[in-house]
Amino acid sequence: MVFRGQVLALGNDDIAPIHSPTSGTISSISKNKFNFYSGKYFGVIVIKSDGRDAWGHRVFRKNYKDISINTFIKLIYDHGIIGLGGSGFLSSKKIEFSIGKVHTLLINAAESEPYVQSDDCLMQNFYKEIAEGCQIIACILKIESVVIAIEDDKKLAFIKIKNAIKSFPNFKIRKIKNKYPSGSSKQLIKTLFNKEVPLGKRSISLGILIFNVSTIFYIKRAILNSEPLIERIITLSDAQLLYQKNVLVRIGTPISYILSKFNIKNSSIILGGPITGFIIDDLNFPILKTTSSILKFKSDFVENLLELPCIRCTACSKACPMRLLPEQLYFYSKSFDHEKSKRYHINECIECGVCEQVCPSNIPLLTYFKKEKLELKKLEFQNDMSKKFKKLFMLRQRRVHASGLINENIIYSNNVIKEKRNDSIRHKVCESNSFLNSQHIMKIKLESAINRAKLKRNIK
Amino acid sequence: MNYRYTKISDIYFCRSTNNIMLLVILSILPGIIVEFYYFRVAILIQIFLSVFSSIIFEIIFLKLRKKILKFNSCDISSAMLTGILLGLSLPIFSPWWISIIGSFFAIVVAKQLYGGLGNNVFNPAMSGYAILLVSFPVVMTNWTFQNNLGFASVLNFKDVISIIFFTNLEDYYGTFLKFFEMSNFMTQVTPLEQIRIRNKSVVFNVDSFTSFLDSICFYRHWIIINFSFLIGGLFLLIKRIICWRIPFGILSVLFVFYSIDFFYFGSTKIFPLVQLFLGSTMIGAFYIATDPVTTSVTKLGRIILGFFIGILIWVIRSFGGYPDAISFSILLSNSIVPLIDYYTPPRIYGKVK
Ligand code: SF4
Ligand code: SF4
Repeated sequence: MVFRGQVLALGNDDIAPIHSPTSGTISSISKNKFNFYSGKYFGVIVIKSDGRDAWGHRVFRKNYKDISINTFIKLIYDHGIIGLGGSGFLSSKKIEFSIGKVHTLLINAAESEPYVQSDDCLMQNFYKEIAEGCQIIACILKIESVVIAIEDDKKLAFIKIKNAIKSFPNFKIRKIKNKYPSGSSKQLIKTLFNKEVPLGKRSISLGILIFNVSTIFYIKRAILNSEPLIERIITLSDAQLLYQKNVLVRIGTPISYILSKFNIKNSSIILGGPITGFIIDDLNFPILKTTSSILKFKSDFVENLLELPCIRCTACSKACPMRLLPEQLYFYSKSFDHEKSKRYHINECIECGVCEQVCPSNIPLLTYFKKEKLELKKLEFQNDMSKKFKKLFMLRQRRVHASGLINENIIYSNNVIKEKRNDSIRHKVCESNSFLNSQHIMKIKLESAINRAKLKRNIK
Repeated sequence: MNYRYTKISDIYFCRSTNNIMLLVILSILPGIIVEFYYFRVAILIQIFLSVFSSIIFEIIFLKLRKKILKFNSCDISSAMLTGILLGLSLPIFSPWWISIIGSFFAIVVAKQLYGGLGNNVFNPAMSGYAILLVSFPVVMTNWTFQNNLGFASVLNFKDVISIIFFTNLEDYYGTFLKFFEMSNFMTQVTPLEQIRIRNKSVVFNVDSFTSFLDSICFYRHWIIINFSFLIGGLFLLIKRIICWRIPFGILSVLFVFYSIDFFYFGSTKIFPLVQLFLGSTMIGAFYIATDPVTTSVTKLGRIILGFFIGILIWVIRSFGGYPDAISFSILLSNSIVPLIDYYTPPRIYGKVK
C-alpha cells in the first residue's frame, strides 16, 4: 500500500528518489527492457491504483525565508527534483555546486525543441507560482538578479510573467529569438550575456545558475506544498499540427493510456522532441521525468533513410552551434578511435542534433556521438576503477609491510622483481595469476576444501 | 549500422548528396556547351567515353565490394561527375583507350581501393589525369600542338571518329599530320604552352599582346571557355554547394603573382587578369579543387589550401615542365590536407585562446 507522493525508491548520488504518482498497491517490481536506442534497462514498479489518489504525509510551509541552504538542498533532493529541460541533472547537486558562487539566476523559458509547448502552457497557467519559485531560490541563495528568457513567439506567456514579476525590482525578462537550439543553456548564455561558458565547465563558473521554468515550478511546489515531482505537463502533437494539446500527466503513465484517452490511433510515436527524441516501439513505455512531449507522425515524416558515405561537405560543421567538427567526430566515433574523438572534443557536444538534420548523406551523426560518449564513459569508469583498486592495493601493501606480516619478497617494486627473478615465491605468484581466471583454480580450490572437510571429519 | 532516426524536412532544408552531385553536373553544362561550340563532337565523345567507363567501373567495383547499389544513391552520380571532369581535361583527340584507362585509375585506384566515395585521399579525376600524363606523355602532351580551335571545327564527324577510335599509338602523330594537311590549317599552340616556351627564351611571336585588349582578343576562345566555367562556379557558390574560400585563395594568389610578374619583373606580357582565364584555371579552381571529399574541412584550412594550390600552380607553370599545372598542384595539396586539418581546428565554443 502506497500513498501519493510516497518514496518508492531511494536515490543515490546521481539518481533522485522516485515517488509514487498515486495511491494504491504495488503489484509487481521487475527489470524490464524497453526498446530504447541505447538498450538501457529500467527497473519497473507497477502500482495498481485504488482510485482514491490519497496523499501521504505532507508539510505545508508558508515561510521559506528561514530555511537554511542545507535543508533547502535536502528538501529538493528528497522531493526528487531533477532538471526538466532534458538533461535530467539533479537540481540539488546544481544548487550545491553554486553556493556562494552565483550572482544571476537565469530562468530558461525557451522551449528546447520545435513542436514542444509544455513550458509555454506552464507559464500561462502557473505564472504566479513560477515567480514565487524564482524568489525562493533567489532568497535562499542570496542571488541579486533574476533573468527570465522567453522566446519571442510566446506573447501571452510573456505578458503574464511580466505582470507577475512587476513588484520585484531585481527581476528581468528578456526576449530571445526562436531558433533552435537557443534553449540550450550554453547558447542561451551566449545570446543573453554574450559570454561563453569556458570549456569543460558549467555555467556556474560564470556566476550564472540556470534552471528550466518547469524545474522552478516544481521547486516551489516541493518547498511550499511538499509535493514531490510526480507529474508534468507534456505536449501531445502530431507532425501536421492537426491537433496540439498540453496535458498534465503523472510520471509513469503508460503512453498507450494517454493515446487511448485522446483516441489516437496506434501509430509511430516519438518520445521527446522531434530532433533529439527517439522512436519507441513499445507503447507501454512510461512517461519519464525528462519527457517533454509525445509526437505522433505519419510514416513519411520519419524516413528510414539509407546512410550514404560522408562527402565532407561541412554542412554539419557550419551548422554546429558548438563549432565542433562533426564529420571528423563521425569518422573517429565510427572507428572507435577514442583518443581522436576526445581530441576533437566529443564531450562538448550538447546533443542538439542539428548536424544530423542538415547532413545531406542522412548520416545519423547524433546516434554515433551518443554511442561514442557512452563508450568513453565506460572507459573512464574502468580507468577510475583500476586506479581505485591500485590505490587500495598500495595501501594494503603498506599496511602489510608496516605490520611485518609478510616478508619483502612479494612487494612488487621493479627492482625487487628484477633482482629476484628466479625466486620461487615470485614463480608461484606468477603461476597463480595466470590461472586466476580459469576454472582450473576453482577446481583445485574445491578439491582442497573437500579434503580439508574430510580431514576434519576424520579428526572428529 | 542502420539506425532509425528522425529527419524533419519541414524544419531544415537540406539537399541529398545525390542532389548536390546532380546540381554540380548541371552547373558544368554551360562550360560543356561552349566547349562543344569550339571543339565540336570530339569533346562530347571524350566526355561520353569517360563517363560511361567510369560508371561501369563504379558499378563493377561496388558489386565486387558487395555494397548495395541503389539508383538514387550518390555513387553513380559521383562517378558521372568524375567522368565529366576527366573527359573535360583530356586532350580532345586522344584515342579511346586513354579515357578508359584514365577512368579506371580515377574510379578504381584512386577511389574504390581507398574505400569508396568519401574515403579517397586524392581527387579521382585528377589522379586519373596525372597517371595518364605520366604514362602516355606522347599522347597527352601532343594535344597542345594539334588541338587548336579552328582545326577541330573543320573536321567532320567521320574524321573525328577515325582519329579517336582507329589510330595506332605509333603513328599517332603521323595521322594527325595527315588530317592536318588535309584541313590546311596553321599550327597554334595553347596559350599556356606558348607562355612557357617564351619564358624559356625561344623566339616566338608574342610581342603583340602587350596591351590588355590585344591579349583579350587573341585569347578570346580560352577566355570564353573559362568564363563559362566561372559562371557555373558562381552558380554553385550562390547555391552554397561549394565554399568560396578555395577558389578565392587560388585565384587571388595567381592574380597577385602574375601581377608581380607583369608589373615588376616584366617576365610575362599578358595582362594578369587575362592569365586567370587561360588553360583550365577556372575549372580547376571551381570544380576540381573544391571537391569536398579531398579538401580541408575547416574554414581557415580551406583558405590555406587555396593559397597553397595557387602557389603550386604558379610555380609549376613558370618554372616546371608542364604548361597546365592544375592536376599536379591539386594532387600535391590533397596530400597535405590531413596536416592542415590537424593544425587549424576551429575555436570551439567556450575555448579560451
Ligand atoms: S553534413 Fe554529413 S556528409 Fe556533410 S560533412 Fe557532415 S557528416 Fe559528412
Ligand atoms: S549534436 Fe551535432 S550540431 Fe549539436 S553540438 Fe553535437 S556535433 Fe554540434
